[in-house]
Amino acid sequence: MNEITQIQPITDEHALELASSEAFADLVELITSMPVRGDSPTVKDRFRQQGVRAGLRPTRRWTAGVGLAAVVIAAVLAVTTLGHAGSKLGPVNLGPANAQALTFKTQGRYLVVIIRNPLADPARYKAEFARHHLNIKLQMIAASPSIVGQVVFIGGLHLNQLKPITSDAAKCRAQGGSACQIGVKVSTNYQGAADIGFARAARPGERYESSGSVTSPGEAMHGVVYQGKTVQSVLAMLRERHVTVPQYRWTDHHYSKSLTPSQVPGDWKVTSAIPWAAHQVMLFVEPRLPQ
Amino acid sequence: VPDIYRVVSRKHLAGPVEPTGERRARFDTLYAGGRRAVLGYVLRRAESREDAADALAETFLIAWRHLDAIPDGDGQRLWLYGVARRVLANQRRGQKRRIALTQRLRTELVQAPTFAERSEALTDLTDAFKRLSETDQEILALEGWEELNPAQIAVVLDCSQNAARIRLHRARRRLAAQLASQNAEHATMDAAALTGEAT
Repeated sequence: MNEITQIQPITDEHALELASSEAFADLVELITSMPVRGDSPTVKDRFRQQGVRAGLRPTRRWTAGVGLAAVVIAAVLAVTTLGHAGSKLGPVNLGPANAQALTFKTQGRYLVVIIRNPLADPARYKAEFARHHLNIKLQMIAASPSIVGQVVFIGGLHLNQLKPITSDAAKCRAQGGSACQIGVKVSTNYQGAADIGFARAARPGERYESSGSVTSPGEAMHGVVYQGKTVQSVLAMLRERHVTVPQYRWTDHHYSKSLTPSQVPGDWKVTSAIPWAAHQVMLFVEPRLPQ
Repeated sequence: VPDIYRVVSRKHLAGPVEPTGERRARFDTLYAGGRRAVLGYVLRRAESREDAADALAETFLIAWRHLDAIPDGDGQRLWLYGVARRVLANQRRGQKRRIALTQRLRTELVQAPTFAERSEALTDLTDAFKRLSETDQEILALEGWEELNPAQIAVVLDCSQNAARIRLHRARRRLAAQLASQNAEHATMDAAALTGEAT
């Protein structure tokens, strides 16, 4: 889901209410009365020209997960921790502010690339990769704790020669950041371009661009049973955890609307929640009685 | 004239073309399961409700003709979205055709009441969304309106899952940039208005 949900012109449910079942029944009779075979060449040509072919041929898939061939040399990007360079964010101190964004080290048949500054300008990563003749674009995406160190997206050509290594966020937290190893293995003759997005820890107050389940370990509502409870009772539980709710979402007559805290009565029901920022969540709510 | 655009009358139904029961049954299942999703999809995107009715009919007509190529399960819905997307693209390119098949559906859709306008607060988001390229709009809409994940989006757009993820990520970024630039524009206008008042 993204914020575009808020401006959805009409839901499927409401769309179906606009037409009668008779109109649909009429249409199915007419369509199935049309010949299946013997399409005129015009129709076939039209298909080709206009590319009406979705689903008619198999979708291309990147063959990720292909084992590394003997010739493959891996570059391992290791993220030790995340935060402001020269500051302390989470359990580990970061390097000086002017430290290079990445460091490259040859290790056997591998090239180890360590991310020294996870908050560096993506252009800087790209430039440093370029100096090692690698066309790799790296972006760190502000994310909620349970997915930190995971790949948010990866794209490019010949991706079977490039394999990301992700961290276990829980382990990473438990070991004070030392287990936050994330990376990518690249073939020496890798000529393609790659675009990789890793989830990084968010700065204090920074809104998540990507998030895990709100009740996952490490998240603001881990272990909280809240679905179907009233807003006031959920807020009480959140207060104990020092978690606040800056925004609510309500689907009103098929439109998803965002509401401020003052607009939401305490007796409304909480249906769902998502991580918003550190110590903040967004709640999906609905009135207690059916509209 | 391609036969799909030929006016079909009730009389024509009594003609010699008699689909086999099995094929018809399969299509009925597909239609019953997919019409809601396809109608929602086309209504959210078509320029008019007439266009939406035509796009729905054309999508299912294509499905009728390619019934054997349609995957099972959730793949059906994604296949239908993919076809509907291209049908709408053709409409936008000016290749609008009125399909006689849809007379009743079209009339009903056009006559159905319109909805209340959305709140002012969402105007900025709507404007920003409309300023994006059609490609960006479509991928954000597939995620936000059809609630598809990147793997499903990849099927509809006929691209790799990775490409879908990246395109989605970039579209989100461009939407955020658009919103930010609109905010900056508003701030400038507000400042200009204030200066104007002061003088």
